[in-house]
Amino acid sequence: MNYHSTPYFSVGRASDLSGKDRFIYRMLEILPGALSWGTIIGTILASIFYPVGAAYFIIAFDLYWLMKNGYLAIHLRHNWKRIKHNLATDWKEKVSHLKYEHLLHLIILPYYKEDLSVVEESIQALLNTEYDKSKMAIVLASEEAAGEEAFEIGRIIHEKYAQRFGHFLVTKHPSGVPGEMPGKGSNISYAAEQARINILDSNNISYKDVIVSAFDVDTVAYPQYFLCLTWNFLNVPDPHKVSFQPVPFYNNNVWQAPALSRVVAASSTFWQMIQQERPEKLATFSSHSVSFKSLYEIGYWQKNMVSEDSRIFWNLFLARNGDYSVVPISYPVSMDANLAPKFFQTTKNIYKQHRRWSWGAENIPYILFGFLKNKMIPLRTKLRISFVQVEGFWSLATNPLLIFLLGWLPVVLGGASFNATILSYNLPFVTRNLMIISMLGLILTAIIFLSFLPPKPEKKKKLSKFYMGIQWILVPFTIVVFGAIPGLDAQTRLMFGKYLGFWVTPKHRSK
Amino acid sequence: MKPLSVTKRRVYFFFFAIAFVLLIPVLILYSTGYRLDSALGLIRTGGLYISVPYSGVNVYINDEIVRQTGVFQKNVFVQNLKPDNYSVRVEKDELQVWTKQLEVFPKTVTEAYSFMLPQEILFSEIKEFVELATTTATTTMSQNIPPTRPQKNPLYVNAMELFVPATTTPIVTPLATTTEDIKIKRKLLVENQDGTLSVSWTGDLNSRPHYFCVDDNCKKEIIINTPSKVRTFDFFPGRDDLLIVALSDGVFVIEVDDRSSQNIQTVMLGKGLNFRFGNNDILYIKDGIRIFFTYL
Repeated sequence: MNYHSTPYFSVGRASDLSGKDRFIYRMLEILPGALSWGTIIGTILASIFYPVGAAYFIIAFDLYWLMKNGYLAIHLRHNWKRIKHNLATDWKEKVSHLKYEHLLHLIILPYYKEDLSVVEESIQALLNTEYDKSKMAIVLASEEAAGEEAFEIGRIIHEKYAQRFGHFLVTKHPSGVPGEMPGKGSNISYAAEQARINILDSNNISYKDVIVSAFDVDTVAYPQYFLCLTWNFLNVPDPHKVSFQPVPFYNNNVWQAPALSRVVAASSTFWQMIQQERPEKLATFSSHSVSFKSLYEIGYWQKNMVSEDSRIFWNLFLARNGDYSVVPISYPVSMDANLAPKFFQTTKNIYKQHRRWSWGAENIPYILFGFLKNKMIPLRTKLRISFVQVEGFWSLATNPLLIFLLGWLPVVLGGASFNATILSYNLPFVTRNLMIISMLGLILTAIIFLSFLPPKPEKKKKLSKFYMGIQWILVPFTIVVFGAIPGLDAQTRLMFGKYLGFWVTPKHRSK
Repeated sequence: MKPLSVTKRRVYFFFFAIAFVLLIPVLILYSTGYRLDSALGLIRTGGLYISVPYSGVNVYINDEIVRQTGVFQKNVFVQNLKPDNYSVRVEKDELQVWTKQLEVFPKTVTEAYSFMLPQEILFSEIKEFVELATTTATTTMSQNIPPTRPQKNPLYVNAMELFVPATTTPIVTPLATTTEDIKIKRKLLVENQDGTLSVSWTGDLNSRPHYFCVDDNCKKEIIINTPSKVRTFDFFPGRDDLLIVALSDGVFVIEVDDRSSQNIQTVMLGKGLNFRFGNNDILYIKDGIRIFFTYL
């Protein structure tokens, strides 16, 4: 029996299982939070009872952080060059040597209560892409729960733009379907099935010739995105054994968003850029592309969980017994950075968005449980991926805290005899200096960030670009407040079975 | 353009991994006080931490200036010191000099808290009598009545009352217990036994003040060495490692720390002087029937 036919394949949480399986899955849900809290509490306890050991650990950890930053900075720099190269490449010319006319791009744009302008900008960007529009099918996926007004937006867009694409469909995902969680996963799965019936089947289009791009509604494709995607689709050995991952830029409203929002958003971009150079560690994230054939075989995206963007990769990975990967196309798509009418609301939204992303820790029990059940995946692959995933979420929730907050703990809690040691006096200096050297990497991030900035609007002050450079001093704050804390928040909720629902990031464009 | 090759990534990985493996013992040895000597051998060093109360103070170790304290960094930490005895001197114009012989031990920081009283402390005298018309603060009569005779100064009377021997039971507060012969401040007990002060720690041994121990050898009691018998004593305001004492030839501040000879600095010279602290840590000194006060 194929793994995707087993009852474990679409598990969303422990309560979807029963008996021993449920217990094991529950334990695996506890694992990420237990590791993170174990590290933090362990550091505190060690600082009290064995401060010398804690100090050694902190120094070693700070050095590890510095080395890791150096190692990742090389990846970031290489990907920067690769993106610039790919943006400068004439993909039309490259694709012209290939047979690609049979391919159809199915672009699914799910939306909830976003403004007409947000949806329209994305459609307009699709129109501006250098790809034959007759080979593009647009599905605007609305939610019944969003009300008639939201569906009306779809109708308006349909009326205005449908004739300009090969196919255009507006779907309305019904609310309250048993077994579904309201959110992007259930919406785009419904939209994909509607597209299959109403576009693919009715036009006799082969599923293997359809490339699905599941975009967020604010996703603005760069002009040659679909050409680049097509070229990659046709140049991999088996396009049905891979997903395609662009680099998410958050440039749509970068000149309007506050510095905090820009730094947090661009940090996500940089992380994705680094991962693009480490494809074996890459899972799909946010806007991504995948063959319709693959999607159809496993029943599309999971409908009962939050992180459908990364889960679809793990679904396919387990379904294909580990013979599935991500192709990092190193070509950008642009989305919105968090922006609300008021700064405090923006801050709140950033936190909530990052908690939702960190909720990707829900994939850990899914992956590990799948590895226990699927005996066809090589053990080495299982071990490697388990380590990468667990370490990734552990790092997210603990490393910034260890680096920026807990480094002083042995000095504070270590007691008089530890405080009389030269180690106690040197600990703050050594950790501070290692941190300062690590922070030098921010110069590179500032340069890269500036290189991808869209042109400065005329009404913006002359110094605006300067602020875009110095904003990176906020990183020690942002990676704690919008990295570690939401990460720990999400893992703690998962640990205690307080499951998160899907939270739609509000999209706001300042006039 | 292709992604970073696996080979390149491995090279980078091993470079940073090897750097980590090589640097970690170096960092840990450095942090714990190991240094290379001239023969490239490893030696264990220690450090000195000198707390200084003022900025602009020169701190000398073995007669070599190591730092002048600043507004934001008044304390001085010196490391890379071979285990040995070091002479520390802390001085600034118009302040009394503080010196200490301190022993430095491997992997340990020897702490010392200096104190520096002005070379000349300005005292004001509280007159016993005041003219009624000119001292409005002390008058109880209308100002338009011309003075007829000197009046006893209430400030003087109040100050004098501080020197009346206590007849009630000791006042006990969480921080301090006071009788003529015993005082406790933050678990430091000071007893006056026939003119000799002894200081002992009554709290948890792990939190006893650093000056009770030299390396791992700790003592239970510290005797305050004074040139003459102590008549009166008290804790110096804001410090529990300093005592103010009235001796036969004046009032002095002396430190408890006896790791080398205890620093003693002059507050006021004079035979038979006595002192008390009033509100807001105002120091009153009684010289016969005269009363002086100052803010320390």
